[in-house]
Amino acid sequence: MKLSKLLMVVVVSVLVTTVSHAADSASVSGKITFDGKPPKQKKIPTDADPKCAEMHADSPLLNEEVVVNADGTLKNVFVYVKSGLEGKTYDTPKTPVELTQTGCHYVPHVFGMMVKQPLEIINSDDTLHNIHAMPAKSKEFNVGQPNKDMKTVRTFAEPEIMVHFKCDVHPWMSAYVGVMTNPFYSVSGDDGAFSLKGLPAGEYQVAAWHEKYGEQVQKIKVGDGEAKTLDFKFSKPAE
Amino acid sequence: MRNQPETLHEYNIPRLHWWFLLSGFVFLLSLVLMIWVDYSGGYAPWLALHGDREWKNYQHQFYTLDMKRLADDAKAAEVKANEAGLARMQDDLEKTNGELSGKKAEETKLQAAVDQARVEDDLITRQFTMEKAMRDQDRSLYEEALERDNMNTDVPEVRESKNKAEKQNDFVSKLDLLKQQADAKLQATKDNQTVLMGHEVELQHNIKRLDDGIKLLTTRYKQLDSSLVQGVVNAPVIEFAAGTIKVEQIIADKHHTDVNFATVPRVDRCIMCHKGIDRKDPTPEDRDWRAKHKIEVIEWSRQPQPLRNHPQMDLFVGDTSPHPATTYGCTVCHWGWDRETTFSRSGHTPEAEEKQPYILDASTKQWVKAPKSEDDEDDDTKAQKVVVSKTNVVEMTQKEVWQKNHNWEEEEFLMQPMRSAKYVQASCLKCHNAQTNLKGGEKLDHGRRLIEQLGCWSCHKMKQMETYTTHHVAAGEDFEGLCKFYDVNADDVRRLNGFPQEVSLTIGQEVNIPIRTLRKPGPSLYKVASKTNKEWMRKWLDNPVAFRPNTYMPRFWGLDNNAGTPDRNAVEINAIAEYLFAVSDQPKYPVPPVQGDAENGKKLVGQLGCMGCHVIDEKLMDVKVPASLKQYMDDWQYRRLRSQGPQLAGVGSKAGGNWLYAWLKDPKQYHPRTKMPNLRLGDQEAADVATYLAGLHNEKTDQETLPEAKGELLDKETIEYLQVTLPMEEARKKINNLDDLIELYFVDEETMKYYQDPARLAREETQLKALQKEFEETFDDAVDRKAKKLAAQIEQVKVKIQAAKQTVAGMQFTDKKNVYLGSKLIFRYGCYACHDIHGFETAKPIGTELSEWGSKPVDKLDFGLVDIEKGRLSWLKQKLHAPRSFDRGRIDVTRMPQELLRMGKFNLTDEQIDQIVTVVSGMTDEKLTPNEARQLTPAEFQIERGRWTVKELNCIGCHIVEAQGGAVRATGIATGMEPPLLSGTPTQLHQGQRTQPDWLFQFIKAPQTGQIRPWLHVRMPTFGLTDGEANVLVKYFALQGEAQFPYQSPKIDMTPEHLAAGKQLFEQLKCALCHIVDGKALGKPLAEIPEEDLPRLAPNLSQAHLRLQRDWLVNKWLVEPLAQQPGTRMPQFEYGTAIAPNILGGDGRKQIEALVDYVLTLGTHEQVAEVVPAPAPVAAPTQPQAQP
Ligand SMILES: [Cu+2]
Repeated sequence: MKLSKLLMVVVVSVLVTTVSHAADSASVSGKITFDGKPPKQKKIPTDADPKCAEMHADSPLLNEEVVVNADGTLKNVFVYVKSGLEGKTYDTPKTPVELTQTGCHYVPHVFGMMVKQPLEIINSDDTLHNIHAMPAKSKEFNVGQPNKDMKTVRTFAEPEIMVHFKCDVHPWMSAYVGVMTNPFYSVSGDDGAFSLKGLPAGEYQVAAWHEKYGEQVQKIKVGDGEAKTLDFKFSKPAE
Repeated sequence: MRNQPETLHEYNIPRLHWWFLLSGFVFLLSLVLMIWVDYSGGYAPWLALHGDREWKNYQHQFYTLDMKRLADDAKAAEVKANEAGLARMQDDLEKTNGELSGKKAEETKLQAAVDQARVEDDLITRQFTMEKAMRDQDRSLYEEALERDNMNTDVPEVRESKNKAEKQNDFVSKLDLLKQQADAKLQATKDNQTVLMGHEVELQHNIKRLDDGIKLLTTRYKQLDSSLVQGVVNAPVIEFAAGTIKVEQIIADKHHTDVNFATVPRVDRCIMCHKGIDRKDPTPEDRDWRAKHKIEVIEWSRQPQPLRNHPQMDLFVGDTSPHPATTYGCTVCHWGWDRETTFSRSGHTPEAEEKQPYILDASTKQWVKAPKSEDDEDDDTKAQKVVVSKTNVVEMTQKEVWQKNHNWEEEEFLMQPMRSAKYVQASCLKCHNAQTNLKGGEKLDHGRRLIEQLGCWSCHKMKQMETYTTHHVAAGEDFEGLCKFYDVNADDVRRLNGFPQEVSLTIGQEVNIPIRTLRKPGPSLYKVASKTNKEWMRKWLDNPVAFRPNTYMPRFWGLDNNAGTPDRNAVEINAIAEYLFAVSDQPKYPVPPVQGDAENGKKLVGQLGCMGCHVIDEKLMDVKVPASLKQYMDDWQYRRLRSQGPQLAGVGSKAGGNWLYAWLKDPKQYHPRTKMPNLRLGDQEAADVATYLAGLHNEKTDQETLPEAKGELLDKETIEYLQVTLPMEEARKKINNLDDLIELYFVDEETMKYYQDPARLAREETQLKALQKEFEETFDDAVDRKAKKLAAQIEQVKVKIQAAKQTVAGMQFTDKKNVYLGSKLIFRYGCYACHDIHGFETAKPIGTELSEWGSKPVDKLDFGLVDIEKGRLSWLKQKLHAPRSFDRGRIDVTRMPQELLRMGKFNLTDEQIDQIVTVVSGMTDEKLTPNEARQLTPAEFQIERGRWTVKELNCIGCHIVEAQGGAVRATGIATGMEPPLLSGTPTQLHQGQRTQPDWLFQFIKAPQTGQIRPWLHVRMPTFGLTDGEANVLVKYFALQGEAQFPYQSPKIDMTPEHLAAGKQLFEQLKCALCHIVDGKALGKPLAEIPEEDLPRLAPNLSQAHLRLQRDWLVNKWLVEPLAQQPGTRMPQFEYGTAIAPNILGGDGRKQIEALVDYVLTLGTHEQVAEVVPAPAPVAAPTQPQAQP
């Protein structure tokens, strides 16, 4: 699947950047679990754009707001180092992060990138998408991509958790990016796992952000070369 | 001598010598003290003596600070120079010098070659110039000869001179050639030299430039730092010569002051202490840069007074600001005694009364603000690291601190004491009363809007609130031309200025040009009996705020001077209610034709945009502007905008469903000058909303019972009022026969004149008889006609009077008393100033004129027994806060009930009171000369008219105009469903640029909602504007947006190829996926689009040709939609090769034009049907359906 490939790109780019801080070798990893009865992913009616409907004739598009994996872990949680790295600066990776519009939805749905790192936005569909980023701190952009395989590159000048993307043509399309000043972030995938590698020794606030269930923060202290685990648990807020 | 008897003296000589010696010392000492007082700004506690020259200390402080600044700047310049490569350049220079020294011989040779070439060049140039002059002379000689000999070339004289001229010309040509060669040679040798030395020369030049900057700063620093300069030039007595510490002043010749009836320019010496006033703060970049390089920077805005700089330097003081200090000075806005140089006498006025913590600064012996706590310290106090122990912090008001620091005392005799910072915006009013949206005058703006809405101006005349601009007539201007120039109705100008029909103007005359006319703020009470019930009316009068917290209606009873007489209040309230109902018209409001659904009504109220002006059950005073609107408005604006109409919670207790239905369908049928617009509600919609609103009851009001109006008190008070004109005995009798005193309230306005002029009827009857007699004598038909007309009029009046008499005769005895007393009380409280009330059409408002209140001497204000500071502003604040409090302790003793204060108490917050005080204290008797006045240009005048209209109609309750407003957005209206942005910041979109003026005019007059953005629930209402009023708005948008006006139809390229390319782009970019075209969107007819998909739609392009301006589409909108409208769903396409390399050669600009031109043909008969270019079309006009 394309998704996992892209996640790989993200993870690899994280790894590449962390390698440059070879002396920093601590790591924090863990799982995000979901407590309670997992909500069902609703089908999205795509017939407003016949082109989208065509692509999903057999496999309906599912709402990705909450995705609970089969093993009860929660997907699409953005885990990052919220504080503890003040005063440290990290180089901006030159390799672009990709965001693809395919089958009238965004892949990946949640991802991370660094400030000023290029973001390559690709339209793989034969229909018009517009990629409308609505950051609060950086400059808003809204680019129309009328042709298949169009590519547009943009950057964010300021860090922000999270920047929302939407498509004004297909209102169901939605994606989030965490714009970071450090390379220590990770998104939980099909196994609900995350890992932050190559951290310098120190005391950190690690945050886990979910688009529906909000943000949780935990404190953790790691020594040189130490590998610690940290788990987060999300649940449906009481109504 | 010795033997002579000693003269007997009363005094003893030696002792006298001692006395002389002593007094000599005393004189010397006092001389020293005099010099000390005159020279020093210090304080001698043992003599309780203050030096007069406090300003010297401040100048010292300033120069110390400024020296530090210079040192820092020099350091920064040095670092910057190094960053720019000074060091490297110096290295390079050295290196080049080294290289050159090895080539000394070559350098010399080159120099010699240059010198040689220059000599040769000089020589030949000189010769060339001389010979050329010679040639010119020969030529003219030849021409003269030719003329002498009648143009005959054969005459020898002529031939000879011609030859000579020709020869000389040849010679000059040759020399010219030689000169050119010499020039070239010189240049070549120079070039050779440059090749070798150029680098060095360039380096020297650059080094000099960088070095000079540093040198300049260092030199200035050294000048100031020199102890010689500081010690000697500023020494006592000789300081006047050239001291750096000196008297300084700004002669603000553009603004005068009146001293003892003489007009003199203001001479402001404020800058003697406030020396840092025009110093600019470092830019954020500079600050960051310096922080990085560890170079300190002085932030003038954080210095203690008086060294601090002026805030908002882009508006004030700065050289490029509209009010540069060099021409405006200080006291024109701040007031105070311009020429004075001591703290107290210059009229400094302390700020608010709240106490704040202060500590004594050991170095300056001055009390300074204590840093608060660790947490909320800002950076500069942290940097100072003042050690604060709890013990040395003293809580003081600013006044107390000033008394300690400056020996401050109030200057009672200053007519213009300095305005405290809190109210300084008052000063803007004297020049800017015609303008609104004043930058830096926000408080004043809020205050004026508040006064407008509260209706202060309708009881108290306030010339400034009438909002006009003053034109000073110049030579050659006439009245007609002037009205045309400003595009105003001549009658309005006549009325405002009290001009007769025929107006002749004189040069220099002041003519006031009206910008707007204010409407009576309260609702009409002509038909009040059909709207509400007497019971509610009584409760409302008793305490309006209890029913409606944000009401502008003041409270008249239960206040300081009548809270003690509840029974009397009940009688008064009852009498007024009885009066209003007795004289009210009684139109009937039938049951709505359809059954209303309250649930749907509630939904409609939330969706239609009602909440842009109204509030239901929200406590606006506690509201903070939602973050999404913070960039557009402050909390006050938000509250104000949504208080345009009344709070609707509880409205059902006041009005019934039938009345509400009729009101909603057409508000103007009930109240012609209401600001409530017509929402064009359908019968069902109106019935739904009416049902919902009628169900909103205020339980507390419903259940409340008022004390009964007691009969004996009614009699007592009625007699009280009768006694005003009658002796007591007669008054007692008269109460049984009030008919003739109340009849007049039951006739119409015309007939009432006969009551106001009781002799009129008799006069007219006499006149009639005379006319009849005249006719009998002359048989003149004209006289007969006149007589008959008069007779008819008299007859009619008599009928009306008779009818009124009958009405009154049929009234209950108590009702008559109530109507009589009610009419007297309405007179007393002046209710008619704000409301239309039958019988009071011509009554004069009761308030004192306030147009010059800001200059009123304090001793003319009655402070009663209220213990407050005896100042103009504290009196006004008290008056607004508790208007009747000045009667405290006087009731029954010195004041009869009818003599008590009567101003109503408005429900105002402290903040609102401050806003009003700002405005009223700005209403002064200061006169401006033509040179000083801010005269609006015609364009500015039109813009201001529009701005006031936008506020009055509360357009900004829903729309964002000039980056203000849009309050309705925060009331639960979804993103994408908001009313459109009309104008943002200057770089964002402007309605005047976006739409065609003709379309806008039509739309404002008769909005056709559902045509452009059918998905919107918010509905643009019909305001019922006249053509003139609609034009004010159209012009405003055009001028404010700097759009082309009057509008001209654009040139649209109609060539088939061009339009075909446009169409191709239109299809490729899938514009029609969102935009409505031909009644379809998303590939479906509009009617079939499900509700939830509606917000995805984009405006109807079939209307684009009628609505949008090509210029804006081509140059702005398609180029960068987000820059025009933040958050817009319209994407930015990368026109050009990125999206369509094959269309129009991939030229982005051409693609945009083709796309726009194609869109502008949609919905017209020019619309292209096929992509394939058709054969040349029939000659068509160059634009689609141009508007007339
Ligand atoms: Cu899309």
